[in-house]
Amino acid sequence: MPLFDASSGVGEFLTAFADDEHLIGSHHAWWIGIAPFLEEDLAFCSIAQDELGHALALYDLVTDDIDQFALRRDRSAYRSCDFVEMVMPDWADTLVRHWLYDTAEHLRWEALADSSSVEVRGIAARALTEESFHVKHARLMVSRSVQSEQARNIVIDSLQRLLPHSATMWASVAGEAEALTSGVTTMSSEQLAEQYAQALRNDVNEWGLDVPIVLEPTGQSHRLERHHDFDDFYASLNLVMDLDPTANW
Amino acid sequence: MTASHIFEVFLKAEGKSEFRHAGSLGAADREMALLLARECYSRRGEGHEIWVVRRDDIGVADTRDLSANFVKPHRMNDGKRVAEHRRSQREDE
Amino acid sequence: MRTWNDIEEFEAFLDGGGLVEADDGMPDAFRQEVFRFIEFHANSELMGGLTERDWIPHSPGVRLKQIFLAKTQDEIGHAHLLYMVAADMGVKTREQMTNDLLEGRTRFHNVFHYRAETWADQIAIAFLVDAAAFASQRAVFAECSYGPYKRILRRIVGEEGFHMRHGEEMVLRLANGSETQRKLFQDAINRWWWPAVQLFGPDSPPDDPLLRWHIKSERNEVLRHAYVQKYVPLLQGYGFTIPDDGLHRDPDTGQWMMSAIDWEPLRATLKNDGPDSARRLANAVRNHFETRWFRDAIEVSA
Repeated sequence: MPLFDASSGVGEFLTAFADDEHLIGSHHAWWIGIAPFLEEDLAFCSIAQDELGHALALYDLVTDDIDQFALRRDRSAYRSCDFVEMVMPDWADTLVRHWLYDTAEHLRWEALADSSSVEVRGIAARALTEESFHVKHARLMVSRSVQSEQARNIVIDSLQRLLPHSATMWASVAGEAEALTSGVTTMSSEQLAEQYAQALRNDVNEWGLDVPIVLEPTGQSHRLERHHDFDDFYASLNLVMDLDPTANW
Repeated sequence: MTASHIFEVFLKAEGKSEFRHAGSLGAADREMALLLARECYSRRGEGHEIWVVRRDDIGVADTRDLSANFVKPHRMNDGKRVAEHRRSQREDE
Repeated sequence: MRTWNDIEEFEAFLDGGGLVEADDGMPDAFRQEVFRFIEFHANSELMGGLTERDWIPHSPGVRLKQIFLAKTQDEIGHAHLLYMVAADMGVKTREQMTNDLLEGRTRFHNVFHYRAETWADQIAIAFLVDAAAFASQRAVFAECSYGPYKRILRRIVGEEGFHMRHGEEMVLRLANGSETQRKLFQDAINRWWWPAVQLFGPDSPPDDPLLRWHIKSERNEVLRHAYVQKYVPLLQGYGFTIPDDGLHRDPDTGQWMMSAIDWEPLRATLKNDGPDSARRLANAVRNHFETRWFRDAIEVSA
């Protein structure tokens, strides 16, 4: 028996985070072998592996069969946000999403560091040690790349396009209320969204980027609908499993 | 990345061992080199500590100067004479 | 920095187990030959990573995706180590090597000119192809008179050990699996057996400079034969067949003997004319071009 029922409020809340980690890790992984230079290839691929590891740890709290749950659930049962479902075959978009996502992810884990659940606390503590590297990496690479004008314009263009999508990370699932009252998490998405915007403002100020950080309210999507990129990802994820769904792969 | 710098990477394993040279990498600056070194040279935790040093900052000794010390018998003692003396004493007893 | 008066003196140094270092005044022929060999190895690690990359998104499990990513990351990491060591030989810069690879001027292992067509191919690569590459790398590591190469080979060979164990574990899973899985893997063996055997190359020439200079420690045909002795019974033990009608056991020696090898496919790959060469190189070129702004930006910040 898993620790939390996936259909409970807390289960839904943890599933949303797990799905985000699973999807971002998978999309980051696309860059293996083709990142801008080899040293960066190794660093970025490591981040992809870490995010998948976080997904595994979180899925493990809500299911006994991680692969069936992570790969073969009905698409309507996923709770990932638009921002991680988007396919980004462009390095600037990928780099900016990495910075935005990890800035947010770090805050999300911090909110779990004092969880009422000892299991959640343990996972958060471990994830935070990896996250500090992710945030450092993202901030360093963005800050170094905006020092030339051409690259600065490329990064600013990505940031302006992606910032509104990034707000979907703070769309809360209905189960968040239960996660808060039970103390499994200690901060609401609304509170975290404010910290997120402030962290981004600090970064753009430090780097001298003239981009106003305004997060439009994301509405009550509850993460119930999938981005149009999701279907291809879902099919690609199941390509092998579909050959023999009952086999041990 | 041709104009960026080459850094030499040194790892220290857990315990009493000293820092050892692991290899090199390309990076724009020291902070970046430190960040990138882990996944180049310590993917399975080989280094509990890591140093990076710009290759240009390393002083290299002339091997001819060093070779002068390859044979310095007056700084060594293999202990043979004393051992021989003790052996002959034992035989006398 | 050491120097040698002539090639005889240099070869005597190598025969005595001497290790050449990057700043030594090595004979130019040695420098060129060793450089070309390391560059080929580096290219192969990178192109191998790109071959595996195609199937990572389809990993049938989150943990499996993580494991295969880590394995391919090692291959990219090996390419990185090898390009660093090759660049230090002063023949080409890293950038020149990348451009030469992408523009089809340099070579890489035959096996990475083929496309992995199914998930079982991914596993056949991890098991059969990696094992062949591993055998030839170990044979280089055993002597290897070029110090910097020998030192990074220790790391590379160590990590390939993890890949070997992982590859066989994956084969075990398919072998003990459903009819679909077994058929999928048999088809993969049918595609990859001959390329894996050809990876060792034709018999070494009588006076191979790589052998004379203690870069290679063993002749191609000896390594190939040892590989066949090991992998024929292994695959048969798992209930699979080898796609070679002429394969038989020599009644006198007990050794496995193959049919004559058709070297034409290998020759095609050496001209970058293999089945998947053009697509793979074109993808890599496009990507390299599209991420150039970032490399340039990082360089400016240096």
